[in-house]
Amino acid sequence: MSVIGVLARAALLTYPADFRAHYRDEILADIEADPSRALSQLFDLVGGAITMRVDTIARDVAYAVRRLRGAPLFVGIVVLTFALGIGANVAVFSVLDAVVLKPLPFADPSSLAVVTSIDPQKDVFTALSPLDAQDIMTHSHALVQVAASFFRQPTLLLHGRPYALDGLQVSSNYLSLLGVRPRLGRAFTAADGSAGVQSAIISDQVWRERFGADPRIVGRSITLDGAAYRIVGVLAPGQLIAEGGRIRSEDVLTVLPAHPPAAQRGERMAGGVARLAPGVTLQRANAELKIVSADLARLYPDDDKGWSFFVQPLRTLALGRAASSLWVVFGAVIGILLIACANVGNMLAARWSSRDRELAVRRALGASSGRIAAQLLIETALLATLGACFGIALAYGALHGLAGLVEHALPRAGTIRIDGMSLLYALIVVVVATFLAGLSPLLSLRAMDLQSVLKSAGRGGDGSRRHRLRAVLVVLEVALAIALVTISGLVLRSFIAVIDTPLGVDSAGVVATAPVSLPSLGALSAPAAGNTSLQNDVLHRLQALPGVQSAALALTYPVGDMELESPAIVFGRPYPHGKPPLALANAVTAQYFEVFGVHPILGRAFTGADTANSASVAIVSRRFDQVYLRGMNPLEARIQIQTGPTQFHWAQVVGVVPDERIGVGADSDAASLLPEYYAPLAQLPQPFFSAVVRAPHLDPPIAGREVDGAFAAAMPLTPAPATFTIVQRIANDTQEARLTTILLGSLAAIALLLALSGIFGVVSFSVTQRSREFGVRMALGATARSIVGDVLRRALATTAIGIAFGLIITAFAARAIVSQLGAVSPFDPATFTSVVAMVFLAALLASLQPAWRAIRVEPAEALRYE
Amino acid sequence: MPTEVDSLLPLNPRAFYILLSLAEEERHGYAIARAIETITGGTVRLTPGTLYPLIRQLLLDGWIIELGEDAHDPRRRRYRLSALGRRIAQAEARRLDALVRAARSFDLLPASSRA
Repeated sequence: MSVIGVLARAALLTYPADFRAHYRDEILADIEADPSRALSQLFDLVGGAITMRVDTIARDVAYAVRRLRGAPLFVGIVVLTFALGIGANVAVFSVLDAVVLKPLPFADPSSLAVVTSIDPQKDVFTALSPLDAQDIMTHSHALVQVAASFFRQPTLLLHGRPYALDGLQVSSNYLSLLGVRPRLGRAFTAADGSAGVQSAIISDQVWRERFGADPRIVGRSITLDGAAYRIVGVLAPGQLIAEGGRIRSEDVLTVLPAHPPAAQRGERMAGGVARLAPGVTLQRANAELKIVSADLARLYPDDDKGWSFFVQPLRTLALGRAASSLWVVFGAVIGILLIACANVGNMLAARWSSRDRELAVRRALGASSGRIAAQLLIETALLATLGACFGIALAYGALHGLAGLVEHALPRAGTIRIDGMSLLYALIVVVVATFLAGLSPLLSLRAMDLQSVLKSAGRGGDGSRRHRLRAVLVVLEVALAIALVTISGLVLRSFIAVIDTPLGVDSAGVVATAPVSLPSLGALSAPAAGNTSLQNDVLHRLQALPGVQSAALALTYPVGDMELESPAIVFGRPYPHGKPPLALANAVTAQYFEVFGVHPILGRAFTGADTANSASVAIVSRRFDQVYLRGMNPLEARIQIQTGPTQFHWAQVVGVVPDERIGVGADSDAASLLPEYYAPLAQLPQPFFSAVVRAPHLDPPIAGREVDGAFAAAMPLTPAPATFTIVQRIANDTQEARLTTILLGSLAAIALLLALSGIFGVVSFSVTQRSREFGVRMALGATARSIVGDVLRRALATTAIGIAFGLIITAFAARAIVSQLGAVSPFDPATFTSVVAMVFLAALLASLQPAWRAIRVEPAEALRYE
Repeated sequence: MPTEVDSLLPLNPRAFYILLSLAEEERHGYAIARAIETITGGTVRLTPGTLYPLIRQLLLDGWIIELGEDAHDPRRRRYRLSALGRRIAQAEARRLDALVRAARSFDLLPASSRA
């Protein structure tokens, strides 16, 4: 055989087997007949194979599209099923990839570690002292670098305006240890920690927002907390910094003194990070640190005796918790994908076995079983791809919608996005899903025996054992759906109950601020004259704002941040057990009750005449009156107001007001039920205060800006506090509950839809399998109603079994989450009945179309093949 | 009046050449390729990699019919045009003829190209 012949034979291998068998001899003869053009002929031969295969795929795709166009309901349900399975996978994978799989944004992150102090007696891990960090670095060989950091929230003063920043004060080797390179300027060096002008590095965000992305920023001087700093660098956009075991973005970094005072040795408040020497294991580092700490204990027995150190991988501390829960969630969505594939498999099997005869005929005409399998897979791949497109859109929407809610729940949540890796994962999922979903119909096709199909017209292509397996799957899906929907229904009800719990006040039109700390307030006890006038200034500016009806300053307010628990001591009333009962104390200015639309039940509200120098007065809540002043006229009672650890005065009760709820969300139960008393802010001075204003006709953002303006005018060197309406505040405080509710709700929705597509698939399949039987029965006089009844009865029986199992699971699960349900009973009958009714109704809907198909079987058609 | 055949037009030029070469007489694959080379003055050459996939497709579509082994060379099979294939080739020829006439009326071609 010639070389050409061998090559041609090899090239022929790229063709489908049937083509090769038919044309090989002719092709070889042709090539031998024209040896002068053999080479180009060989190339064409391979090209022809590629063209032919692409053509075949294009034809199959076109064929599949044509066939699918005729079945919009089938396509809709399959695509929805795939979209849920693939969408959930893409969303969770994107989170997993961004949070866990992507390497930490530092050089050689695997050799980074967190150093903590450990007190063996207490077995407690605490932070480090910066002096310890320096000593460890000097003495240790296993750790090449050790650095310390403190939280710092400096105020940046820029063009006379204060801005609150989040930041860290770090050792000068901190950034070089992490391997973080600024985008502009340089990292800190040892010289930065020494005397002279202090250095600062700002984030890309601060650089853009506060300095207009000034390219010549490096070297510029800024004012932080009243001191001058020179900017030496700007961090890269989105740069994260490790602080102990946390990873977050920082606005500004400043340098710790190179030589901390020796007195700070015992102050273990710094986060410690370290880099392991190449090839050194954590065990060796920890063993070495035992020796180092023993040395330090000998050198500094006062501060270091009994203390030792411990290193852990940065990755474990920073991501460990998130990683373990995300892997669990990932496992769950893989489960969802498997269920989705099983459902689609059932639907495909139903659809393709109804074509038994067509396929058998085609096969008899020479279509290879490989071709038919390819067509099935192409149809499935088409559906999976369509589902993936919708699924990716769903995932995008979900990640977008939940971004604000997960921001504080996960480390580096800001980096979560659907990127190339997510799309690659989606592609892999599509391929896997295509084969998984195609498996069941493929097996059905394979089991299809040509002879028997042609003879008996596919009466029993599928064994009853396989059918039972499908039914069991549906029972499980329904049970899971019932459990998840019921649980999420219960959680939703309790969430609504928390949000809707009356505050006891009229909060509409009220704008409140976060607490503001007074500048340089000395001892808490003495009402400093300067602060009183400062507060008065703020108050008067607030009251003068256009659109503001009333304004007040207060220690706290309904759903506010602060809660001051204080002993409730009534003059002339001994308290039992030697320990006074507790009440909530609030310090407010005159218009506080007016702002919240509260009218005293008895007596009066505070007035401008209640000052630091006037007679001491107090107002109590109704509950305070009922619990602590029982049996006496409240307006004749005097209660003790504690103004310091040891100072107090007696205040005359001048009014009783309705109860207000202070806390919200998780901590709403205990604290908000406490009796409360109020004192004039001037008589009970506080280091923090918030402002509340009633501006019912102003847009909340406008009112917020006005309030900010008043603060800026009165306290120009303090950053203006955040402002919000009470409703926004409740929404913020219930974020975690909201996230839980949303996640559970989506899971429940997915489970429910999967159960529905499962029911649809199984009922479709069984109708297809029994179409001959239905035809015969109709021919023998059965009514359409009896056929439909038969189909629905079977479907609903399967559903009912699933519901029963589901209710049992739910009963156990509901008991486990009873603590999160608050006032809602874990067996809330309304939730249970509506969920069961909903699932039942949905199952009915899912079986209607197949049942309709059952009565449209032509008796003659069915009988012809008998 | 458009017929069902017209919906298949225009044809893939190579398919048309195969139909053309078979309009005259039945041929085997190699002879088809030779005939096409002759018709087109050597500008269109069908190698086995393009010829046989097309032949198979034309067979599947029923435009040509396989006749069996060639008397001179038992490795080769002979093909002839089916009635459908002939109608399709005629329809394509009419379509091309109309195109050429249109080109003439717009002076893209000389009025007579018999020369």
